[in-house]
Amino acid sequence: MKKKLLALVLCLAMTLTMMTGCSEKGSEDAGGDKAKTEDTEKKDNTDDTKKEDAADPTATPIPENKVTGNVDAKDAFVVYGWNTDIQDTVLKAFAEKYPEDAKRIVFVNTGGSDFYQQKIDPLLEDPNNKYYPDMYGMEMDYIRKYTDEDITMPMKDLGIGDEQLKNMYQYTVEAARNKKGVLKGVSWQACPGGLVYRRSLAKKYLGVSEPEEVQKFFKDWETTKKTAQTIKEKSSEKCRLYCGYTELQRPYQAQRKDAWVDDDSNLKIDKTMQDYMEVAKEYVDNGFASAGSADQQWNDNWSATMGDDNIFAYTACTWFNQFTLRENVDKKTYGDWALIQGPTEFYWGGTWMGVGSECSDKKLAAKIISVLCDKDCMKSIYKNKNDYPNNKEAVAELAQDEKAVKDSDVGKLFGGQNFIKFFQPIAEKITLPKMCGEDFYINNLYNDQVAQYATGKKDKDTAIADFKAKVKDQYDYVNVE
Amino acid sequence: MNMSTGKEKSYSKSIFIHKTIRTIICIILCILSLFPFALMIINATRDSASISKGLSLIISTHFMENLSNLMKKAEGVGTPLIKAMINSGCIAVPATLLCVYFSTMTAYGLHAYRFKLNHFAWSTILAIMMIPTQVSIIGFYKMILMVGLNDSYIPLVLPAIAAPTTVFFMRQYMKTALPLSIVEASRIDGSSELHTFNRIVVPLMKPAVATQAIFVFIANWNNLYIPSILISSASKYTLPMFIQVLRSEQFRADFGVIYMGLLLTILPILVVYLFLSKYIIAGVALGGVKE
Amino acid sequence: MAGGQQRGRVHKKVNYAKYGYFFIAPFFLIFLIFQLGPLLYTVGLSFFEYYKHGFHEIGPNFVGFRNFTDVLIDTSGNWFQTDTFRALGNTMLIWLSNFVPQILLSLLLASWFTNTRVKLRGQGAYKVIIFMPNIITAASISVLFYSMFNSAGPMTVILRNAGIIAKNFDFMNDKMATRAIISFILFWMWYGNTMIILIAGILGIDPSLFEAAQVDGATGGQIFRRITLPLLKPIVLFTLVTSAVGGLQVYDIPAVFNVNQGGDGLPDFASTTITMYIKKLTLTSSNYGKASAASMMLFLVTCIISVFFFFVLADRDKKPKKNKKAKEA
Repeated sequence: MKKKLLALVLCLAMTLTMMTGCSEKGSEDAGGDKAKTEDTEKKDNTDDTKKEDAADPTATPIPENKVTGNVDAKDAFVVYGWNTDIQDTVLKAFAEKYPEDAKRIVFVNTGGSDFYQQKIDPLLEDPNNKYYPDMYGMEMDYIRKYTDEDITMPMKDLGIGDEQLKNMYQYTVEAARNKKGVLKGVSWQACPGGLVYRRSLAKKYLGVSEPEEVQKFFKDWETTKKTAQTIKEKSSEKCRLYCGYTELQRPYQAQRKDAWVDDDSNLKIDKTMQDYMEVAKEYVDNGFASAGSADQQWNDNWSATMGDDNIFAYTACTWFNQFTLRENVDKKTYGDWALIQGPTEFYWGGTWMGVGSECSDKKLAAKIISVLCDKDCMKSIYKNKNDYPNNKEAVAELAQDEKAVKDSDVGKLFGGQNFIKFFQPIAEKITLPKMCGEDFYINNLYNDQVAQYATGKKDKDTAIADFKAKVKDQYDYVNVE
Repeated sequence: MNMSTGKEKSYSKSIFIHKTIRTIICIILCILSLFPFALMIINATRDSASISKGLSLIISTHFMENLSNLMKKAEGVGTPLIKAMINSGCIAVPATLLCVYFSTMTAYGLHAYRFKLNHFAWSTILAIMMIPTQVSIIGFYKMILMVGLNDSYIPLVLPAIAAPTTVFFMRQYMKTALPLSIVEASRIDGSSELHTFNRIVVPLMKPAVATQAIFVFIANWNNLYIPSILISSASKYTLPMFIQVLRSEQFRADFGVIYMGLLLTILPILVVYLFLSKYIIAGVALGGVKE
Repeated sequence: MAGGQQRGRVHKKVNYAKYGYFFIAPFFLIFLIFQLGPLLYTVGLSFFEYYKHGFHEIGPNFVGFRNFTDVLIDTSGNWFQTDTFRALGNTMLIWLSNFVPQILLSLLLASWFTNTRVKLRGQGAYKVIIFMPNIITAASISVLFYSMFNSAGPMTVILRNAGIIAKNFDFMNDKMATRAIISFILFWMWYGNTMIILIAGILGIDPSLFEAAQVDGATGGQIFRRITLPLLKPIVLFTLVTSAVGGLQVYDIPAVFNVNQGGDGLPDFASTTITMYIKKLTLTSSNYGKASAASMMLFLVTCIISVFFFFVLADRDKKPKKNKKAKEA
């Protein structure tokens, strides 16, 4: 009678002893973070999170307890983000330049963009809360929601003007202007997009592997489809061009003329978004991309496929290379990746720093923003994370130093390709489409319907009609005709 | 005679067959119950690449690696796992104490005193049991925002004082376990009403209090809805909210770490359950029997 | 329902009556502040236009029943074709499809475990193991099942290779499949709980009834149908009502199972339950008036279902059904 229970207890006891037994070994590993002051390069070679280590508290004066504990300090300055990106770039560069001030910064990470807005909105309206966001990251998909409102401070109040912005890419400045033309955010990154592919797979299926040659196979959308067909046939359907159809979304969306909601609160379904819906279905039907939900961008299997030999290419951009691709690829594929423009020029996302209008310390906010306008700090951001800095001078200098780029981590990933130089002209040419504060959530609603259409569960008219109904339900004030 | 023995034989045979079939079905159901847990434990010891290739029933060697990766990533998203557990504890422990103490008090008030509104109060409590708490969430949320208590644990802990189901249970138990003569005897001894309650009634109610404490604790520990509406800072995330973060982009690629996270999130409750399963099951049985 | 009248000893307690109020005061105070207050506020809000456009609060302006018409009638004038009722429908579907098999299996197991003729061994262990899923954090279970059944998950791959599902079948892209898995998780988590309650109910039935029936030569099935089931009615009613109240509020499993970044249940809204929907209206749309009206719908439906069960299952033949619990023994 008690046998099964006993077995269960034993099973658990085993697990527990394994934990305690091995934890002595592991504790050096885990606890080492706090004490060691060298880069932990000599770790297990299978350690996926080595890069996260590189950004561990050893090198930065932002120890993790700052993130949580010090908010009660009188002079605490609270910065919000949805992942570690802001911490690893902006705050790290700031800490290098102003180590004393950096001690006051409390970084709050809400863990995932999914609930980021829901988390910061109530706090922004509550200036007396000790967790009031003095500064917060804003993504391209919802930046207008914050810049159009008085809750975000105009940059000129911090003394940031044309002089400080002169080296920034024009589109990043335009994006942070609200409908009245007031600048309310500054970004440390420019986000031109491209296509990353596997050299070895290109050699195998297309016969060439160097970027200049491969680009010919992807020079426009029609050629890309032909190439996808070639890859499919040559690999006898083992390898496909894209992991999932959502790889197509950003290149198409960046060509929009209209935001989802215009200034008079009318819903606009731009032609490019309709094209995306069609092309998604086409790719699925032809087997160029999977319709599987786990294979779509940001889903479980998507990142797991980076580096197995069944996926030819991914839609990429500057931050994608350092933040996503590098974190997920199999180590043995280092050097096997390369960047090309792909069928269209586009940009993908980006993050701007905004300052709360009730910010507790304008001086400190201005200091942090000034770091983003400072060439040397921007170079240091590049050095820390290989992100593409939003400073033309810094970029020009970095691109000159061929060797440094080749030896950088992302450079090694791309087999020595000078990715900084590659992105330079694209970043210059980015023009912004219209944007609105609801883009983020409406994109989600649209993608749900694209999934329905691409998997053949609905015809296009039904999908569009259902999309409109969903938008109306979520945003009562939007006219959907 | 012959016939009856034959009958008996076939009878015992049929019992044996029945027994075997039922035992097999029960064992299948037990496997079904244990399988997900086994999978969690096994996958927590495997590396991401092999997990994505398929199932395996053999324990692998990546346990420590997954554990340290999980700890690092969790720190990266601002919610160290241990902190999430402590946070959940910070809500569940006071909520449990308040809930069982005040529920016993309310039940005692209804049980031991006959006052004009007694019947009305009891009916009200029964009616509240039927109202889904989620119905009033908007009013609750707006009120909490008004008084500036969002992102704090107070609105998660204090409402535990008014828990109709626990009051109901306590009162059912009191009917059988608390003779009023004891109360009267202590009155004669000159003890005050509150003193009587604390010194005599609560100790007598110990079995019921313990059972209910387990249930209330588990319910609060596992609660996701209201915390996910009220709590904004990652440093205050409770354990179920941490699990939601496990689904976010930082973790998605590393299956081993996800399973390790799941294993660690269920471990405390699992251990508590194995030690207290007898009482928990007895408590469920007690709660269901209505008069 | 108990009135709580203790016979006798009335005269002693008269002077103490006021203490009763003192003892129940904390409960009712907190209830007023945290439950009744918000509930009335929600009811009030449902008659007002009150939402946010970006960060601008519009309202509250009194609009009468407009929020109710919004959640009841869609733009083309069809009743019950709104997202509110779609979410309610999803919730009911998920609840019913897990509850019906759950109560049947629980009844079967309860009758086995209380059967005196075919005594199963190891019952204690079975109970402990079968009940175990009930106390585990639901969110963890949800993530686990998602990992197993997503389009690249191990279970999906196994089922594909076995030819049970089509090669490109995706649980997460199929409305019924997603709901079915959520229902299965709920079923798996709750049948142990229901079983234990039913066992307690059966054990509370006077054993002499069973003995008499056996002497009369009734078969096991007959005994179950004629004696056990009718006498179990109040317990079954209890499980039905608690399960309905709980089932209509189901949140944590669907909310972390198959959702997009906006918190909608995928695919195409199919796994959005009413509580998820109310949360979305509150936090994402910030449309407090409409969210309140949707909450009222949930309230109404819960009341209707509870009342329905009471009417269908309430004992009409007024048998004394006092559980003679073996406390005296």
